[in-house]
Amino acid sequence: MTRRASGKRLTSWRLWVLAVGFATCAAVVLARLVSYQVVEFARFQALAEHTQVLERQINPKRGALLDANGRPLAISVMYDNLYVYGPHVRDPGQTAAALAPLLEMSPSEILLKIDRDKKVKVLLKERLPAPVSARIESLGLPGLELVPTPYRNYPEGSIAPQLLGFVGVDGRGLAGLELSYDEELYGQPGRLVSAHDTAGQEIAMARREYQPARDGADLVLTIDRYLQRVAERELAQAVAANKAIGGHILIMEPSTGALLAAASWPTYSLTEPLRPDQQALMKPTIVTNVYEPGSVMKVVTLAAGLEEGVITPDTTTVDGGSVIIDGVRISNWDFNGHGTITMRQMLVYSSNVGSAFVSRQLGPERFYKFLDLFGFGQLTGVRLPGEVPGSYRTPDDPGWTRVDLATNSFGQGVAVTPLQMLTAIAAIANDGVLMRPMLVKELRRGDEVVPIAPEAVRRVVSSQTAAQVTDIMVSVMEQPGLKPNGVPGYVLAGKTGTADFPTATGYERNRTYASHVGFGPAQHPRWVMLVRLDAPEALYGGAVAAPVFKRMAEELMTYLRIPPTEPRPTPRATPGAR
Amino acid sequence: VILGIGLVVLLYSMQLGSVTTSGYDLQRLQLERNEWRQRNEQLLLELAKVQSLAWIEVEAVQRLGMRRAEHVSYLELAAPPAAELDRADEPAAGASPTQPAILALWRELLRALTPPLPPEGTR
Repeated sequence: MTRRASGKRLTSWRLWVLAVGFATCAAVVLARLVSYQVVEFARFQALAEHTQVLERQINPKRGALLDANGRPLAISVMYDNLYVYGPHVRDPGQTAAALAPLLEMSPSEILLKIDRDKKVKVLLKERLPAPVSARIESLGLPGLELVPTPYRNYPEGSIAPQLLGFVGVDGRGLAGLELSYDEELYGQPGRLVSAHDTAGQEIAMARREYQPARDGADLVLTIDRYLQRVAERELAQAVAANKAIGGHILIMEPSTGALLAAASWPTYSLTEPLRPDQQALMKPTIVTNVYEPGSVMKVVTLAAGLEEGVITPDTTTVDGGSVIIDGVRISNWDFNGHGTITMRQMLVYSSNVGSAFVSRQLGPERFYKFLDLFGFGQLTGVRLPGEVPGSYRTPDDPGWTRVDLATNSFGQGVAVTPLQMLTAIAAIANDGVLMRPMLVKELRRGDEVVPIAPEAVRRVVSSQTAAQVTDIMVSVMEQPGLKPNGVPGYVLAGKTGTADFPTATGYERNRTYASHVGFGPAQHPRWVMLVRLDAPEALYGGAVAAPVFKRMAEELMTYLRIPPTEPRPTPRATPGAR
Repeated sequence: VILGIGLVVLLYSMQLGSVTTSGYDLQRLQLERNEWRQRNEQLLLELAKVQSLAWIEVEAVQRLGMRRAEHVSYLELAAPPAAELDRADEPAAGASPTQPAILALWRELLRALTPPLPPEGTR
């Protein structure tokens, strides 16, 4: 009995010890649980998030650059880039052998890039076509990673490189329209926050935040791919044929200010790697580089004189070949005098003496007012990066003399951009209204279309003055020297210009800017064009730029389907032709 | 009670498994979608390339043997007066009621485009 009682006590004691032990353990576990789940919850959650949760930026698709008819000039396309991480590659030989035919590389070439000791991803090949990329993925080889990367592509090849510009590796615009419209083209990046397991798979039930990217807008340009291509081809041929160092062909629709083509030479290629020496060519030189326009400026001088009523087309002056102003002799380009000339003849003969006469009649205040009205010395607002306003001296500037007034009237001592000159001539073709030059006519984002309306800046001369100037410019084109550069069946208006290269001390006599501006048909202008060749062998605009103008004008008339207004000579039948 | 709890746990586990599997399926489908999207973009680029002027020029000149037109002729077609067009819309006796006036224009255009046959003996 006593033994039984003492045994019972012993059992009971042992049970208690065990119970206390279990309870203590449970309490410790509970305490740890409370500590993990409640007290230190935030710290552990942060730790888990740090290792599991991944925040990724979703890059938007960059908008395309389309030509006036919606044809793509620059588009972004996703390609996979293949990377290899050496330490994870199980069998380099087998991997190289499997990849070689797909990557069109030799196995030894691939083996060179697989370094099992190098803990860095190495690029094996970029821009893999989707089917190749899918086949590589299906191989399931360890250590390989396919990274989708956007690439800018140019389906038309390198077209209008200075206007279009290019993007950097981060997909942001670095030059041209790609830079100036980068915000619209780039879009808005999205964001994805998600938890991943150790294998990198997303944990389905875990935290997930998704904000989709907003793709960039497509820009519909005013540039017509056909006209641009023809202009680039003609310019390259003209530069080579005339041994020039560069040039421009610019074509604009006068009623809207829309640039239909803008070819510049020298330039760079959008489809080849950029060289460091091409840095200066990356900017849109039609707005960043200035030149002295020469006699083309006489059109503006004439328009100002007519508008102010200080001359009429029949006003006469005596052109003795030169005139002395403030002791400085100002001569005609050919040093010849033409006797008594009308203002129409002033433009036809391109008389510097006649032009200086008009500027004297106007006086500096009115003359410079018109330079300002026509947009010289100010930005055109075309939204291209690096545009410069150009410059000229006025009586308010130190060092200005009456000689400046005379020389400015025939385009010397005035620095203008090619686009400014074209826009000013376009104002004459557009009934006297100056339009803001435009390169983008529409923004498209999915179904949303935002048109960009043409903008009239101001009326610079009356309709009557514009018509008078046009009529005189038609006379210029019909003079015997330029007649062969017209287009049979059409009435064209034009003016040539030749200006010496300015230097720090004066002018280089054997290097010129040879140009030709004009528009057609003169009755209802559909296009206005500027052709400029820099330092051509034959020096003069009429000799080198006018033939290019003619060829481009023929193309324009046909392409824009402008029927002739004048009788055209019947073409002679080619022998053997049917 | 235990059976009930067991059932709930079992259902919950099944649900969890199903959600996890669906999650992986979703990820796989998203990858597939991206891949097809990529293929589509690349095909659109190829399409744009074969529609480019450079390509067309090469095809036209080298494969089809075309050359530049040396002379462009414009044909002026006098459109029939509006009253005549209205009459043409009405079914006339002897004429097919489905024949629109535009066909007359096309015929005129065709006549203008087709050179007259040279007299016998000159070919």
